[in-house]
Amino acid sequence: MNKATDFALDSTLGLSLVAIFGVLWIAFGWYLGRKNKSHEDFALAGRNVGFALAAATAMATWVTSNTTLVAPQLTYQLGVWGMVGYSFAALGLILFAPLAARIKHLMPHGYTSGDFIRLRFGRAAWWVFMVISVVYAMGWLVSLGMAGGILLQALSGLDYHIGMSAILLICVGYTLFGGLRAVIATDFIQALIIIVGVVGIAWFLIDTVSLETIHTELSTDHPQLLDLLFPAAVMFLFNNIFFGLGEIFHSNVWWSRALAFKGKVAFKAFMLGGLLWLPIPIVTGFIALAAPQLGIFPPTADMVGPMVAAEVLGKVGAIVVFIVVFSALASSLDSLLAATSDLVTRDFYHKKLRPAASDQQLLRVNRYCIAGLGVLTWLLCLPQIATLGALLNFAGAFVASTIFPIVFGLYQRRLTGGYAALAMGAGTFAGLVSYFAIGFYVAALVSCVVSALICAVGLWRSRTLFNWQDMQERA
Amino acid sequence: MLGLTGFSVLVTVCLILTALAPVVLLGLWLKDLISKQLW
Amino acid sequence: MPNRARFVIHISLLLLITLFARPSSALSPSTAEYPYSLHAPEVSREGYFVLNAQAQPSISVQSLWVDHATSAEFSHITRSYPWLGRGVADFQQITLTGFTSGDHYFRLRNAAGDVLSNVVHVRVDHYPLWQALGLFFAGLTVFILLVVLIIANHRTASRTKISQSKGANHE
Repeated sequence: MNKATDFALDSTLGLSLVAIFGVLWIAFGWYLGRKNKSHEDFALAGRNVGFALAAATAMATWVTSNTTLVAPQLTYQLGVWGMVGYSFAALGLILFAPLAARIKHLMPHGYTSGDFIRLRFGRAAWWVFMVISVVYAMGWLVSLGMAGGILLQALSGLDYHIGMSAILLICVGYTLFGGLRAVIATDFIQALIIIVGVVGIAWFLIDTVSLETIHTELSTDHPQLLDLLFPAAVMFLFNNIFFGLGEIFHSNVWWSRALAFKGKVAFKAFMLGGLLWLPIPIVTGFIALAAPQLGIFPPTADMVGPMVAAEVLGKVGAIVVFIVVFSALASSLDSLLAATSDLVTRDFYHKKLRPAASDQQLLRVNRYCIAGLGVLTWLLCLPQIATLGALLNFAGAFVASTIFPIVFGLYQRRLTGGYAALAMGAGTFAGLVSYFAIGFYVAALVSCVVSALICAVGLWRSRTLFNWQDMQERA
Repeated sequence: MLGLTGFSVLVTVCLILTALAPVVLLGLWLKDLISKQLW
Repeated sequence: MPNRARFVIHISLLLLITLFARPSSALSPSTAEYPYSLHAPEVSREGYFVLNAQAQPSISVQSLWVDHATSAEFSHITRSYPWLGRGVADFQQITLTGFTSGDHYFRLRNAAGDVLSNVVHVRVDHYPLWQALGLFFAGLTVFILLVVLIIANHRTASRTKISQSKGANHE
């Protein structure tokens, strides 16, 4: 038992790994950033990303700390349905594929999801949408920053504040130098690291404790985990799917990618990214099912994945987990920093404050925003308040309300801004009420259903038709 | 209750599919690199 | 008026101080005789829950196990779970999972088998299946609606795009 007590890695090794990766990523970001001449280069990688990098970035960004930590956690709590249900979040990427093609067609010169909402639905809906976006982005950023600090601490005993500051500094560093190009290129390498690491751990696990012994242990001592009619897990399933759909459909992380991908690549890239992502949560989740067999009962459920890996593979395992988790955190953190600062630069600075800003000014403001967001996230992560990380839990109520307004907005000319704003506002409100009144497993579902009903009323009552030409706004 | 066969098939198939992902990604990258379509 | 306000504040502060000043054993007399006090939620609707343990200040560091039984008397211990690390010195809690509906009892012991804590009772009461399936099918319906909507619209959009470009070629 002592192995689990002493940290799997000593903190010097942990810090050295962070430093090596930090220097490599930042140097790589600087190298890629040399070509960035205009704001469009920096924010959208010149709108010319090829298929391989596009598919890899779609997949890697969706492999967040959530896939490496929450998938095992949900599997530990909800069993087989937990991991299968989590893998259905891939549907978000797959269903976004047609939307991405449509986005690219409707607004070939657009920059952000905020652009779309403003041009399609007007100011009122834009404000509601911005509140939802900011709540979600900050919740995700803070939970990633905190997860970084907590994980590095759990694995190597490195002080929370050092780990958290290091990961933020590194991500801000290379995003600042290289823009979206650096984000996408690092995502490609991070995707490879994550998959190889995860497959290696699962392989070793099956080799050490066979699938049969894991299954026997579960069926005798934890039968609920193998139950296919596990009520809480069955309830959680579609709520989780709508949460994932809402996250992808509204977030500028995905819109800026759709706009950055070359011509017809967007559809194919999201489709392939989703299909590649689909089996990963089952592999990472399965790792948690071996915990009872190994006598590992974690203090908190989210630590189960790393603990099992470290137990099975010893020191090598701990290094692998360290690198995989670090890559997973970085591949989401950089994307979120870039996409959120695009949103602030484009939607607030350019469209509200300085419509006449020059390209070079925008580029500079975008960089300030990345640094500013990094500092803000750092300040919010500093006190390590668990409730801030928990913000992401009820983000489902916020983001799921955007699903139907965005789908109808992209395809139907009849839906007006007033109804879209009402759908998002009322959906969020209903989702939050049901979160606190009933439970976490209905928040996204209720939010999505309420906003869908309001959109339906809007389509039925509306007499005006939106002119698609109004989407064509020159930068 | 998920039986041993179902459990093993689910995990093994997903492990193989996940292991294939890097091959697919590297293959596509090489193709894009050769045809100068990376960016 | 200010005098009365001050008086109220003083009284409430006094009450607050006396509240904190009470020895912890007075708050939960049943746990006082054991070196550890164990806490658990009364009900779990999902079959997983967290057990918390607090040690009396004088307790030395030792490895711990959590015993599980289906009766308060612990006549038959169904299973023991090792507490991670060197007991409460490293981690104050443990997350257990995968329990079926029913009454579950837990207590702490050391390697020698001495009982070290009070017995806690967790009632696992899974949601009724009809409720779960109701939500499942509600979700499924909305999801199918969304998928059909996206596919149908995507097809229409691609068709108009094609006819537009064909029209452009003819001109």
